[in-house]
Amino acid sequence: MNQKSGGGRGIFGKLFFTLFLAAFLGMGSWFTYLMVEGFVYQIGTSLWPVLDCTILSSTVEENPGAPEHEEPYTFRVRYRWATDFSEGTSDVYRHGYYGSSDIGEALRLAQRYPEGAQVPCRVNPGAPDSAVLELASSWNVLWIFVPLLFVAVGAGGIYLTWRGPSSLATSRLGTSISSRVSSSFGGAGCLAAFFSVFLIFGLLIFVPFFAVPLAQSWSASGWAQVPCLIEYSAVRTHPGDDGATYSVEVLYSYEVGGRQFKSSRYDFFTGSDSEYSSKSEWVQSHPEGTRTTCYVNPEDPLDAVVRLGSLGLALWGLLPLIFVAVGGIGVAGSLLSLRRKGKARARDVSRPSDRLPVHGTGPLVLEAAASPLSKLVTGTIFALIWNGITGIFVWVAVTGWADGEEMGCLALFLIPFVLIGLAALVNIPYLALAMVNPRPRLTLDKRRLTLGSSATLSWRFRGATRRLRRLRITLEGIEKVTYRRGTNTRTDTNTFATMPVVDLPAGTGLESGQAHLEIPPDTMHSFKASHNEVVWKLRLQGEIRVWPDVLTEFEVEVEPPAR
Amino acid sequence: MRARDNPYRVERLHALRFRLQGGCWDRLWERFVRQGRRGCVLGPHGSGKTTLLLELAERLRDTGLSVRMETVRTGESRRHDPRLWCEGLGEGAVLVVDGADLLSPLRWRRLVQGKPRVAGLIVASHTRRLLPVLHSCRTTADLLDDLIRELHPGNGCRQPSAGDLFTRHRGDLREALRELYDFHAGIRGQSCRV
Amino acid sequence: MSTPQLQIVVDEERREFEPREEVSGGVSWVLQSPPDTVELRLFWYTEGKGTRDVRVVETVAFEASPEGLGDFRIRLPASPYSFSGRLFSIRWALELVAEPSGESQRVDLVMGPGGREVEVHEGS
Repeated sequence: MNQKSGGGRGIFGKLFFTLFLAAFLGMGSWFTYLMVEGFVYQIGTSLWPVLDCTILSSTVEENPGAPEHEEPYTFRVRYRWATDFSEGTSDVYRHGYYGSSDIGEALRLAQRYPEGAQVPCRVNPGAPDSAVLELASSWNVLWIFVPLLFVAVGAGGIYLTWRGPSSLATSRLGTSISSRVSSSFGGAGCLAAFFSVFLIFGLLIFVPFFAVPLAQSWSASGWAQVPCLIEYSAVRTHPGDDGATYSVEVLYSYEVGGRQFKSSRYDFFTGSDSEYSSKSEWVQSHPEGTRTTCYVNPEDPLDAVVRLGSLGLALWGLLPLIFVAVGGIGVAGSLLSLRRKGKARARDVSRPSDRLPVHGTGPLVLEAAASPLSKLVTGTIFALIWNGITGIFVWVAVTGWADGEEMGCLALFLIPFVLIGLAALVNIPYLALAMVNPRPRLTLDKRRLTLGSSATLSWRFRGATRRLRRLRITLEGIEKVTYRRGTNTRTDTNTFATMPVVDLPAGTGLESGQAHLEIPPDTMHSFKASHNEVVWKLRLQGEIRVWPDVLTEFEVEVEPPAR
Repeated sequence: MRARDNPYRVERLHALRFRLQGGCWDRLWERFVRQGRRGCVLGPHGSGKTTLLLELAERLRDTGLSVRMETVRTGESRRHDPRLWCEGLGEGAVLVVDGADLLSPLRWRRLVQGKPRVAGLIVASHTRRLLPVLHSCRTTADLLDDLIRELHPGNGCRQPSAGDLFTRHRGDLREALRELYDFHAGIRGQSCRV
Repeated sequence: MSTPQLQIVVDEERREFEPREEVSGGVSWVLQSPPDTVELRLFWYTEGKGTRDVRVVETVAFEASPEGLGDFRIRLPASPYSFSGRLFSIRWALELVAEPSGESQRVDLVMGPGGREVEVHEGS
C-alpha cells in the first residue's frame, strides 16, 4: 500500500517560509507607507480653494551637466494671487517637481504658463504662502497596487504558513446516511498571486522602459529629418551599489518654420545601463558645436530625438520579458488548476469519469502527452530562465559580499530560488538520457473496455528499441481512498489486481507486437467518487541496462457490461 | 479482510464516544455556563476535539437546546460566514464550530466578538484564540487501549500494542487507529483473520 | 405517544439484486410529529479507510403525514457494483427518512453480477 499525506510542515519549515515571506511583507509595507504618505498630502492639496493667479515670470533654467542629484532642465515660474482679504506669491509649480532631464517638458510648461497669463492655482487656506499651479496626476495612485501586491503575498503567505489547516468531518453512525453529502476542493489562488508578482513586475518594467520606447523609435523613423546643432554632450555617470551606469546627456537646437527649438532627448529609452563604450563613442563624435541631423515630430516641433535607439538596448528588454513569461505561465497554470478543480467539484460523483475518450468507434491510441524531446526542451528552458534570473541576483549578492557589504538578507531570500534552480539543472541530464529512450505507443482495438471482455493491445516503439532488455506491460486495478478529518488529508492506494499482458525478453521482437488483453468478469469496474476510487492502469516498463527505464502509465476506463 | 468488515474502518472510528478524562460532564457544563456559554476545545492532532464537539452537541440537544454545528474545511473557509450561521437560530441556540482556526481573522472576530444572536459558542481549534478554554484534549496509551478494546473486543490475533502505537504516533490516536486498519486489512504483508 | 417507527419491506425480503433489476416493496411509518417530508431513498455509500462518499440515486416521496403506508418500485442503475476491497467498500441501501426530525430506517442491499458483491483482495 502506498500512503501520501497532505499534512503541515515542521516548525523549521514554517520559520524558513516566514523569513522568506517577511522580506516581501517588509519591502511592500515600507513602500506602501511612503506612497500613502504622498497620496495623503496630495489629497489635502486637492482640497485647497482654486483662485485666479497672474504669472509674474516664466522661464526654463538650463543646466546641462548638472550633478547626479539635480535635474538639468527646470521650469521656473512665479505667480501672484489675491482675494479681497489677502494676497501672496508662490514659485511652486507642483509638489514634487524638481525639474526634468528632458528640456522639452520644461519648455512645454513655459508655453502653457507664459508671463502675464491668468491661470487657476490652488492656495493653502492654512498657510497662504503655499500654493501650487497643478496637482500631481491622480493616476499615480494606481502604483500603490505594486507594493500592496508584495504585502498581500507576504502577509497571506505567512498567514497560510501558520494557520492550522483542518479538515473535520462530522459524520457519525446511527443517523441517516443518505442525508449526508460530501465534497472537497482546494485552491491554487496563492500560487497565482505569487506568480502575478513576477508578471506585474515584468510588465511594469517592460512596457514603459522597452515596449513604449521601441514603438516611439519606430514612429520617429518617419519624422522630418532636420539639421541641428549640438550645444552640449557628455556621458553622464550614475553611481550605484552594484557599479555605475551611464547615459548620454545632450542638448541640441534646431529650426522649424523659422522658429528656434531645443531638445535634450538622446533616444526614447529612458534610464541608464552599464554599457559605456558606445555612449562614449557617440559623445566623442558629437562634441559641442557639431552639426548633425535630428528627427522632429511634424505635429509638435518640441518633440525631437537625435538617435532612434540601438538593437543592443532593445535586447535588454528581453530580461523583463523573462519575468513576464515566468509570471504569465505561472498565473495561467494556477488559474487552469483552479478551473479544473472547480469543474471536478461540480461533477456528479457517480458519473463515470471522462479521463479517456471512450465514446466513438475505432481503436484507442494511448501515447504519452509530452514527448521526451519536448520534456527536455521544456525542462532546459525552465532551468535556463530560472537560473538566469536567479543568477543575476546571486551575482549581485556575491559581488556585494566581496565588496564587504551586508548581504545576509538577500542570501537568505535567494536560498529557495537557488535550490529550485539546482533541482532543475540536475533534472536535465536525466531528461536527456530518457530522450534517447524508445518511445512507446499503445493501441487498443476498441474504445470501450468492459468487464469480461477482451481486446487486442498493440504496441510499437519508436527509437532505439535494440537497447530494450525486457518489456513488461501489466494491467493493474488500484483502489484509492482519501481520508479527511482533523488537520491532515491522507491518500492511500492498494493494488488489488496485477495482470501480466506482455512479458518479453530481448531478441523477441520487442519493437512492436500484439497481445491479448482480458478483463476478468468478476472484478470491479472503474469508479470515481470524491474520496474513493477504483482506477485501472496499463503500466509499461521497458528495461534498459545502465540507463533510465522506459516507464509509462495509461489510465483506462473499465465499464460494467452493457447488459 | 473486506473494508466493510474492518473493525477500524472510518465509520466505526467516528462512532466512538469521547472519554472525558479527569472530570465529569456536569463539571464541563458548569464551566461552560460560568464562562458565559463560550469556550474553546483545544488539543493537538488526533486528540479527539471533533469527537468531543459531536458529543457536546448531542448532549446539548438532549437538554432541549437548539444546536447548530458547522465544520470549516481546508479551502472552504471563504464560503463560511458566521453571520449566516446565526440566521434562523433562536436566542437560546448554541453554535458549535469545528475547524474554527481555518476562519479568516475577520470572520473569526465576527464570530467571537460580533454579538452573535446565539446563547452559546463552542469551537474546536489547535490554538487558543480569544475564547476561554473549555477543555484541553490530551491522550494516553491507556485511552488508546480502551478505544481498541471497544472497537475490537477480544481479538485473537497479535496486533501492535497500544503502548507501541501510542509512542510511534506521538499520541495521535487517529493515526494509531489507522495503522490498525492496515494491519487488519492485510496491508503491509500482515493479516489477521478473526 | 408511541415511539416513532419506520419500516421498509422489500418484496420477498430480497437483498441481492442484479444491476438494472427492479426493487419493489412497501414502507410504513408512525411518527411523533407531523413531518415535512417522508422519502424513500435508493443510494450507495462507501465504508472503509477513506472519508465516506454518499450518492442518492433515486428518491420516492410519500405523503407527509404522521402515519402512513406506501409502495415503491425502483429500477437499479448499471453501476457501481457492491464492492469490497481492502481500502473501501461500496454498499447499496434503501433508506426511509422523515424530515425535519431525521428519523430513518435503512435496509442494505447487494447489487452486482449474480446478485453478489465484487470482492478483491490482493494487497501490495
